[in-house]
Amino acid sequence: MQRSCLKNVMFPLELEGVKKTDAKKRALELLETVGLPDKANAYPAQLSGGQQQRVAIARALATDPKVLLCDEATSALDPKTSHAILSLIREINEKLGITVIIITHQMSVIEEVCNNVAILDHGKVAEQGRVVDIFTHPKSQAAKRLVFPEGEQEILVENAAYRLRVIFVGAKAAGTPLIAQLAKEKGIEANILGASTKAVGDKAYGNMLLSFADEDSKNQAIAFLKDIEDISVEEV
Amino acid sequence: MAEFFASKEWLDAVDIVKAEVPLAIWETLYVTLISTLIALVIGLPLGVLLAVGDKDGIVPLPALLRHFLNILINLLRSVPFLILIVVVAPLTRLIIGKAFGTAASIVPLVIAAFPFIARLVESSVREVNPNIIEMAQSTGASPFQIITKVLIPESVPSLISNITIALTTILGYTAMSGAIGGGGLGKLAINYGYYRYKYLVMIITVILLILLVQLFQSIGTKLSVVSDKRLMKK
Repeated sequence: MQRSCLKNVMFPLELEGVKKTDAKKRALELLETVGLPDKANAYPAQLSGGQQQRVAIARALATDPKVLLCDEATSALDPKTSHAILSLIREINEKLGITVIIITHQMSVIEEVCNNVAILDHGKVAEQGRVVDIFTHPKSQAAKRLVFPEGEQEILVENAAYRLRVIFVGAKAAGTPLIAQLAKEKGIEANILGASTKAVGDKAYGNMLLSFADEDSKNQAIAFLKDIEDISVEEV
Repeated sequence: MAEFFASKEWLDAVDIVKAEVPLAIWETLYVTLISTLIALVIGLPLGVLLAVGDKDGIVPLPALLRHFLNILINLLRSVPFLILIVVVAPLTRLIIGKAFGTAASIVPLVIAAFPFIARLVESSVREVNPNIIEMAQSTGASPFQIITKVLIPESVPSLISNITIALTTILGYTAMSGAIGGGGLGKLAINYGYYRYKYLVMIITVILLILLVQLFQSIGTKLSVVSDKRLMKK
């Protein structure tokens, strides 16, 4: 790229025939917004991947778009830089009121910044809705594969015992020693097959896959868990 | 050694070189530069057109026109320069008024050089990172804007190094145009060295040509590197 950062951000304005002084002023403002006010005269080759991405975002914002489309905007970045870029995208969404569409294959990106999600499978929408809903209760096969990539399916076949998926919705339940209570109060021994907690949006979510010795203890566990706030139980 | 520098042969050669070389260098330089410049005026747009005119390029050309241009360029590129001089003589006479002499050598030089330059420009433009072109398209740039604001500025370093290649090749051709009385170092080498067996004069002229090529190449490489912002240090 033979254009400096400033010239890059000015590019869409230049195409529209905006006056040079105005375009420059706007470009400097945008570089400020994305946190690179001192790199105006630097060339892309002199910047890190994250900084290049910031310039690209500033350039995309130059023409006051209503929608910002980020196609794999963080795929080539390390986790820390990726996080910084996502915060910037969030900020743009909130402060400038621009709708952001993110295309990604990194589930962590969706968990971190998105409100709504549509899962595509072979070019068709397999499932769509709020991130919270889909990441806690994925319904379609495609969504399940993405949300539980560890291969839930395989465990099921291997160990076809009595199982429950316990889903935590909110930080309160995540802080309760559930399995200990289950053992102490009801005398039910649960085997934890897998567990994970995630932050989706601003709340903590988690799910735990439990297996029981027989049908009876499973049903008792369901009865016990159902009453607790912020928890839902699913037979799997 | 001292004997050699006192010999009639050497003194003769020095006399000839002193009398003829300054003008010859000037003629070589001006014929080379003017021919390259004119060839560039024709070859640059043509090269860009070839690069963007692909079936799935930004300005797809009609297949017939594209094939015609390609065949024309290949045709001109395959005619040996010495033959080309003779073939285009009527055209030269039409433009310059005569078919021999220094000015007349510019016509065949341009005709030999512009297809070559067009190919070089084409390859330079094709090297431009497709992501940058995609960016320009997504920002709504018209094909003409993509050419003037993206393709050409982005390929400047490569264009400079390719034009340097063209310049040194044309310098070599000017030496050949000595055959039809085109002035310059080539004429000197042929007239004195080849026709009159003054090998010393020939060797000195050839050394001068080598130096000129070295000079052009060093300047060209330097300019190409300096203009390439991709090579900027952090």
